[in-house]
Amino acid sequence: MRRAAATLAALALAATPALAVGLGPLSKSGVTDSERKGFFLTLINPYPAATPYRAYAVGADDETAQPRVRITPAEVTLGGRATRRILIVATGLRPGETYAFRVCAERADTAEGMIHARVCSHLSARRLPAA
Amino acid sequence: MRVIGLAISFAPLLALAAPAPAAEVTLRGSLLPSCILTLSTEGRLAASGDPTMMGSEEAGGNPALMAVVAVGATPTITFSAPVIEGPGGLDGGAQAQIRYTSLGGSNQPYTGTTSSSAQVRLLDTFTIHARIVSPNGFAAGNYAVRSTTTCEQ
Repeated sequence: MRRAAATLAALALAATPALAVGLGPLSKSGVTDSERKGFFLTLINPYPAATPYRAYAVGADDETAQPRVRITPAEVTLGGRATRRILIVATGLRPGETYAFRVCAERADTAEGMIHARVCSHLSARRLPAA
Repeated sequence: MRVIGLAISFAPLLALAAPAPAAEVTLRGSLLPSCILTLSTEGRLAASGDPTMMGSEEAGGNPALMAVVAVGATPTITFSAPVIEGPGGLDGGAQAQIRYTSLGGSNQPYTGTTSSSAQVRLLDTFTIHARIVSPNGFAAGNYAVRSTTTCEQ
């Protein structure tokens, strides 16, 4: 009986993905006439159980942190197979400026392992020139 | 009187048996353009008969397996340059490398730099191997090779 329970537990562990994350859409752009532009992205938890995730902004082509970008919520625990919209706000847009960056999502409690998986969305906000 | 009573009691049944008027049934759904990465198996490094190398292709090691599920458009999968985590006395000449193949046709030989694979299909599975080459051998301790995998367009 105990051996059967251990076997079942092992099978359950094997069936649980070691690491999983989903995000969409993978690109978005928008125009504003103010110094802020907001976007919604959807975070996806492919796990059958609640899992903590974090989202953060980096450069369009590098890993430079982007303090001009606010993410709400930046850390969230999603229920099993659940999705949640997160709000991304690009701030400090100057008249005529186009600001491109990426928002990436990954598990907050990154497990030890060879591969660290994340999904990134390319965002671009353009502020209209001053009249 | 009895006949009328029977007729009244059968009337609801006849109404149920009559064919229903035609109705259209529509089931709708929508899919968000997105990418989901699922690492189903963690990789494992093992010692080699060659004292200057350890890797996932040695006896006792295993590769990492990662599924890509994209909706909407085929993404690009980028693997950052692998880095070594090891004991403090790790030889400075040690180098980490990864290689990967996918069911969709990606085939990257061992490399120590950033590499990427433009997907040609929405669903794919990657097999990822890693190794550490240390010309001066290894100190005792735990070792890991880590690479950040990014799904993006």
